[in-house]
Amino acid sequence: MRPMARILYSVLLLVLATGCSTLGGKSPAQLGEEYTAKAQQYEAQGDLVEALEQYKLALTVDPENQLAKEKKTTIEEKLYQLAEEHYQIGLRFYKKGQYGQARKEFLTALRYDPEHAEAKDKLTTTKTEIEQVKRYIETVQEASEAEDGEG
Amino acid sequence: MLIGISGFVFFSCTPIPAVIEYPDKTHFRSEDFIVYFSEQKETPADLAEKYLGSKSKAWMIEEANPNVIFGNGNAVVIPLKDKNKGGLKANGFQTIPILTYHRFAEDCSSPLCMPTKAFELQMRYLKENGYHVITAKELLAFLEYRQGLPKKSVLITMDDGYRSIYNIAYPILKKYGYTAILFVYTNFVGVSKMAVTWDQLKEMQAEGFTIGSHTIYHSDLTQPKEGETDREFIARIKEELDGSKKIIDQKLGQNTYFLAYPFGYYDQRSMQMASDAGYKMAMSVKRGGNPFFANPLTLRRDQILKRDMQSFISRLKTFNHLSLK
Repeated sequence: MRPMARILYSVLLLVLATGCSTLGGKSPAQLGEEYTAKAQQYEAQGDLVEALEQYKLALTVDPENQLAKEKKTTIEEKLYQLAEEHYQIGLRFYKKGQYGQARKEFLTALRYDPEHAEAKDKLTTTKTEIEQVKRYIETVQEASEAEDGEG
Repeated sequence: MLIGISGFVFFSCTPIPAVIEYPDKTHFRSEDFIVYFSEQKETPADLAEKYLGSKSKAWMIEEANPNVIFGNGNAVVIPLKDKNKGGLKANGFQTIPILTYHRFAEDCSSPLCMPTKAFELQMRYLKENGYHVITAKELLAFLEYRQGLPKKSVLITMDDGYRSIYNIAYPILKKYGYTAILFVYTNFVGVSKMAVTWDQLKEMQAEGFTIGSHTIYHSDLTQPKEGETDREFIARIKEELDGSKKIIDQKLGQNTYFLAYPFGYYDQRSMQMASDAGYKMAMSVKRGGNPFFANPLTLRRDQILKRDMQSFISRLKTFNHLSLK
């Protein structure tokens, strides 16, 4: 083999050994592995919300990352389940009038599932309060009109 | 053989078009993120404009890349979804401090008057310490659980409508790229050299400031005046709330959504009537921050009455610790 061809051959072998380089100096697969490793750290710490984000990042750069695919599905299911559990606990506190503890549970439900509409609605009591006052004002106005009628 | 190896390298590195939309291999995109290998000196604001449609969303990119140097071929994560609209973390939730000022002067001693130098230092502190001064609309979107806010968000409000807001505070706020909500009571606007004029309010409105109502006469909405019947009392509250809104709407060509209760006093009745009048947010002067689940008609504000920086800094609490596990 000629010297020039030998150099080219070595370069290509190096590229193959290190993966397909991108502008970031890492192949998508390598970057995917990094995100997966971070995800596993979060999982080990019990932070499933952050772990899910890292698995999604892994899939962004490497859609074929099998571990990330499987973990994404599993964690999403687990988070929905946790959200529902905390929501139900929150409802029990709410019914007992223990609003502080209920709020904590509804917030936890929403952290696990940001689209948990019932938990979000329970956190905002404005509408109920307003309805109560509306009835009071109507009562006063009705009483006032009745007085006018009598006069 | 070389050709064979080259072909293998080429094809094995070719991205899957259905997922990776950018053929230059500097971008990888999913429904949740773009991961971008930034070669040029692009700022988060540049990237936010390019990928998220607005420079104002630069904070989303900054917060997703806390230790990343932009450029140099580093991977930059661009989140495409606002997944934490409530600012929730495992150890608590975000709160938004709302700061309240009244008037300003070069030198003054009343707690309701902030000296120019102290105000300048406070605004500089916000800038140098990474605070984002948000707008009224941004706060409303947060309270309606429609849009997240930067971690260190703060809202500035100014009550009454003193001329010194225009002469002193406005240029300082502009210098730092900040805006504020100005709550004016309409009977005071333009009445003397002490008061801001409608033209000045229009100018500030054009610069991104929000003008809100502080009623017409600044009367207490929670207590009847001496000799006032319940019916007259309700009529007065209605005039204060509906009337001021109509005046501001007409003078400034806007729909006024924001109210500051006179003296910060409110009760269930005034709250309800504010809502009926069309206000979407109303503010008291009860101390404390506002999480996304705060009642938008009873928002808390901190009056900045002292000039020392420690006191000011103590009002900038942006997170409430609570285990959410």
